[in-house]
Amino acid sequence: MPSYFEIKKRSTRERAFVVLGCENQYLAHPKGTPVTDWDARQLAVYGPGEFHERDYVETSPHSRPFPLFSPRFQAAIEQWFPREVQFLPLRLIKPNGTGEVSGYALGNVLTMLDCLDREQTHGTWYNGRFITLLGSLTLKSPDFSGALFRLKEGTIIASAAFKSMVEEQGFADLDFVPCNSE
Amino acid sequence: MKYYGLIDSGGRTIDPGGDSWVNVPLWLCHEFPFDEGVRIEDWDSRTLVFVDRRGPLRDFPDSALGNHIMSAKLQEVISAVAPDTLQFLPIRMLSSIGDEVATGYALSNYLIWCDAVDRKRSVPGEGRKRVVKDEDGDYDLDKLVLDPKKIIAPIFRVNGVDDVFVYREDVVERIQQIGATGIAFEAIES
Repeated sequence: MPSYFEIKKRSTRERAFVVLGCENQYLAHPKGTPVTDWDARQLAVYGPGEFHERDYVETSPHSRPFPLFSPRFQAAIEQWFPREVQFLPLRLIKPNGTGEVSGYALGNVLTMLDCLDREQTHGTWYNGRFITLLGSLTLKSPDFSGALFRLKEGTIIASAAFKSMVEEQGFADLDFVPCNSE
Repeated sequence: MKYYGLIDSGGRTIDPGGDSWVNVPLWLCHEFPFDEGVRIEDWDSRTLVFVDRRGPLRDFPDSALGNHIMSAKLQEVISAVAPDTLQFLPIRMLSSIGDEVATGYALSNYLIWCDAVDRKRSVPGEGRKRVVKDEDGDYDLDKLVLDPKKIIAPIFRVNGVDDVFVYREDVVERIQQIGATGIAFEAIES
């Protein structure tokens, strides 16, 4: 039974995108520390069409994953795994500025670990992150007892406890890809 | 008459990393026929883009490949020298918290396409013997040479070479005369 899982948005045929307007340098270079200068007026644009209500939404354009969490998902994480994720609220709007959706927040995972086994993890690398991952991530036994952490390379990793919570609470919009561990 | 290719963001060397970047939602461009040389009728003038203020905002600011955003100054000169070659679709330039960063900017829609490749003088890509379009209708070229006899407008795109945006010499000179910033050209043989 794997202990850790890479989190990914569940693959669908739906064309739904969220583009962040954020200039915050933290998003380009996350450090696993709290963001102290967040402005809750931050905008993101969604489309095409109406917003698709999802519990877990991937965003662009930052190279490292900064997912959006629904209000329900935020509440569950704060209940079961308090102080592991900082939620950074923002306003979702259509490209013409209408259709504001509130309550969603970016998830800033507050632990960052340097435990990826680069020799055993195969793929194409660029600037310290993956372009294409072939197979699974291999981790060097992380010294970690929490629910979520971010690899130095950017990927968000979940523990088996987090996966169980997600499954028990019925959050269906993300997949867990098992990591190999040494 | 000489012709020049507008150097798109991917090839820009002006103040690398120092300019503001304009983030246009990718799907937005796919929703409209930007690559068909037709006027876009149902553009929403409230459309917003995000400006990541890394540095000065140019008349032709950095954006993703193919997104040609132009200031009012650039639009004015192009409309005067090369009317009806570009359609300017107004956009709102916002900061990430919704403040208006600049006014008068527009996204350009190129209205003229020419089948202007000189097939005899252009140089085919590696492994190809002749300059011919592939099954997708694209040329694979090591060097593009334009055939002046086939050129019908002062600004145009080239059929089969989607990433080339051609400006006639007089248009380039006018753009340079007004001191437009962020826009650069390289000569194309013709």
